[in-house]
Amino acid sequence: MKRKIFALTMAAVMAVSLGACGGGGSTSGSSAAGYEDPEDLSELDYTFGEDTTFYSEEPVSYSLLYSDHENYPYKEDWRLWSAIEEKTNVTFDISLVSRVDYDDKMSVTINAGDAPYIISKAYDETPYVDSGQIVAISDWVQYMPNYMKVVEEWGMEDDLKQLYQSDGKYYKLPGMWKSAAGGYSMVIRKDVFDAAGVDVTELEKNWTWDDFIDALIKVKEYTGADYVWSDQFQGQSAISISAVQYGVTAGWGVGNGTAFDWDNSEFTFADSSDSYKDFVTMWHRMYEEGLLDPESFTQDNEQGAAKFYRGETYVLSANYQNVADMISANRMQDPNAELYFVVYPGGPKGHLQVESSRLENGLMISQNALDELGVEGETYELDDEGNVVLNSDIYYNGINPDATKQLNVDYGFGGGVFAYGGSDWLRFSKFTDGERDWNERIYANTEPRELDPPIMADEMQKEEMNLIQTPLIDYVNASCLQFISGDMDIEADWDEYVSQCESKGSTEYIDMANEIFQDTKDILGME
Amino acid sequence: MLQYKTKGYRIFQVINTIIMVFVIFITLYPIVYLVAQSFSNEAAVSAGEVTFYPIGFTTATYEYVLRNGDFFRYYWNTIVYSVVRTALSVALTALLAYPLSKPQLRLNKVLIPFVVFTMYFAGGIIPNYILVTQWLGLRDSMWAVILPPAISTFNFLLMKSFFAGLPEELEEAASIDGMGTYGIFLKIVLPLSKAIIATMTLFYIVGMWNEWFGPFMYLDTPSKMPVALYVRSLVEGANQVDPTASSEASNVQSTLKSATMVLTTLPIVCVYPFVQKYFVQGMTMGAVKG
Repeated sequence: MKRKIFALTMAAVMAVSLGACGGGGSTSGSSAAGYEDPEDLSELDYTFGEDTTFYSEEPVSYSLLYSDHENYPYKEDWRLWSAIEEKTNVTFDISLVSRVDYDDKMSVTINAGDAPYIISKAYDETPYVDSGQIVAISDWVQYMPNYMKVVEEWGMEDDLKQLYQSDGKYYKLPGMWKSAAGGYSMVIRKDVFDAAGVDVTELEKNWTWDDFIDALIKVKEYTGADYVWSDQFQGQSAISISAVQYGVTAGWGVGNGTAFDWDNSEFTFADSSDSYKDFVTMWHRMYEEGLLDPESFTQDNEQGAAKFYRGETYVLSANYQNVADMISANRMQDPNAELYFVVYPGGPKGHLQVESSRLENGLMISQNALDELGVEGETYELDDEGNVVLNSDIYYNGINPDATKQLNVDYGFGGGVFAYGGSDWLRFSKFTDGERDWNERIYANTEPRELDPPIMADEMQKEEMNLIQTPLIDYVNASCLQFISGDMDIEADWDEYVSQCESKGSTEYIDMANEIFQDTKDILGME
Repeated sequence: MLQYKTKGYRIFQVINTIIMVFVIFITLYPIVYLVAQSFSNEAAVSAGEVTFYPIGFTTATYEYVLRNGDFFRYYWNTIVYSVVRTALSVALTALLAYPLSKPQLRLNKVLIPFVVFTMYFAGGIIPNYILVTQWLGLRDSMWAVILPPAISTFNFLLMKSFFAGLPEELEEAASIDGMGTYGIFLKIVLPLSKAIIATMTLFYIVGMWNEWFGPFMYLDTPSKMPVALYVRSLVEGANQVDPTASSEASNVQSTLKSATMVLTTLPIVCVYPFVQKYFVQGMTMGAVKG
């Protein structure tokens, strides 16, 4: 077991120290195997340290659970693998799983005690923590100087607290971005909005969801369309990003329905608050004005998107990747269609940045140019100012649309398994002008929000809270749609809704959350 | 033949035909749609304009798939798994069903319930995984896909009742002429069982052709994966959207998905018309004839 844990740590050290590949090549000595005694760092047969890329003198191989993405299927001869081997003398023994079934395979192998050493791309480690099959990686980060350096330099300590489990440790190595960016918003038909007399570029600087509705009404009047918006993702994305602006949770981001009240240092149940009432009232208005297609909440993604492509609707939820794909695959039927990815509107709580977490999925993440953009001179060059410029014959995410080769498909770099995290210059070097522009607009027009502290429940508490949470949140989600569609009347049925939430245990849940918070706030360093 | 020309019969025929055409339409339409999509251009497909025939006819998608080496490697794996497993499964099922079809063997009263038990109760995913990977040591081996599901209880029951229906006298006669048990089985029983063997072959080969769960659980190396897993990742990927920030949406083209599905279904569709008479026979084979 000890050996297994150490191998894992060693692998982690290796992956993280890859980040220093641009730094000096100071390699220090090495000889006999140091497996048995990780404390004695002088006798290790590999090198590591701040600004040093991990290098093993002996060739080593680690088993790795790899999540395969259908956009760029795994290839054995990717330059990525040979580049890692050149830099570190490490090879991977890969267990390949399609990302579609990744969580199932991860669950089976971990629960059978048979998991590969390295599990990449873990979104939620919580279910496995109590099984004892996962290493508390926070005990080992001291051997990861490059990781620690990044944590310190970027001030990630508070962000990492999001990962704390009840024992005050964390179990996955997250991908880390220097600044939060990306995420979902809406893509609109700018040509139609302009013609309807709506200047989105001006409006989006400080608009609210109510302003957005007013804009859509103008578009509806101008076009005479049945609906101006027939959404994909079952409306979950739009509901989720708008909930943030009302200080509540809904859609994808519904979570446990709680919000942290920073003034009183306690959790509250946000989804039966007055803010939530305002929130569903706003969405009900969207529905009542005939702006939002009621099918939005039930139809397949492709059906919603098809209406947008055919020019029957003028708004669609998306992330920037979707937008880049629409443009590069030439999906719009109207050749004059002009797509514009708007800054999401604000609300009563201000104009908040939705994407506030700087952490990403993952157990083993390397924030480095090597994994992300390939090999200098082969796939990218540095320009005079030190910016990374992808070679013109290589396409990546909308960059170099006419290129014949693709960075992720043909080389293996920039995939979703390793390439999650990095500094701003690295992140922006992977963006097209359009995506960079959108992120800059987000930074300029929205303000960052504080992250709620985690509820560090232990195994029993988690169990108890889940028993309440599941039926409660099901009820909240169902009611949310009923309020929007008018099946439940916001005025007449509101009190009934609040009392139903309570009878399903919302108060009990909040009491438990606050109790746990009181017990664990020392670990979080809060008062 | 007069009774066939009555008014009632004609009405029946008309209604019957209408219903049958409708049934045929809803059966065939998904296939027509798939083929139409696979020959269309991507923009028309994503705008939902393709219904019965290709729009913006192109064979580019097929050219792309046919140039893709991975696809053929997966395809080849599927062929190997299907052939090996089918041969093994038919042999093992026959070997199990023959003795258990003999009522005079007393142990059968104990053994048959044991076999049937597995139809209703299973150990669960994790115990199965531990059994196959750790106890049998078959992790990442093609045998992990072939051996554990080698005998299907349902097929076993079909075969057992077929053997039980063969005239006992034939075997007695052979036995009197001096033939041993194995001789009887190989030279008398099996030649008389071609229909059931063809049915079993069809059941097993279709089952293995579509199988993705076993390979997903037990195989790790990409070069061993069957084509069903590949198709699954293409098709399911489009339905999966991760709400996390920089997650990557699937941008696999719908035309590519359709073309892959068409190519994957093609062999079974081609073989089916020729063996479907056995399929129908097989379903009624165990039944008592009036």
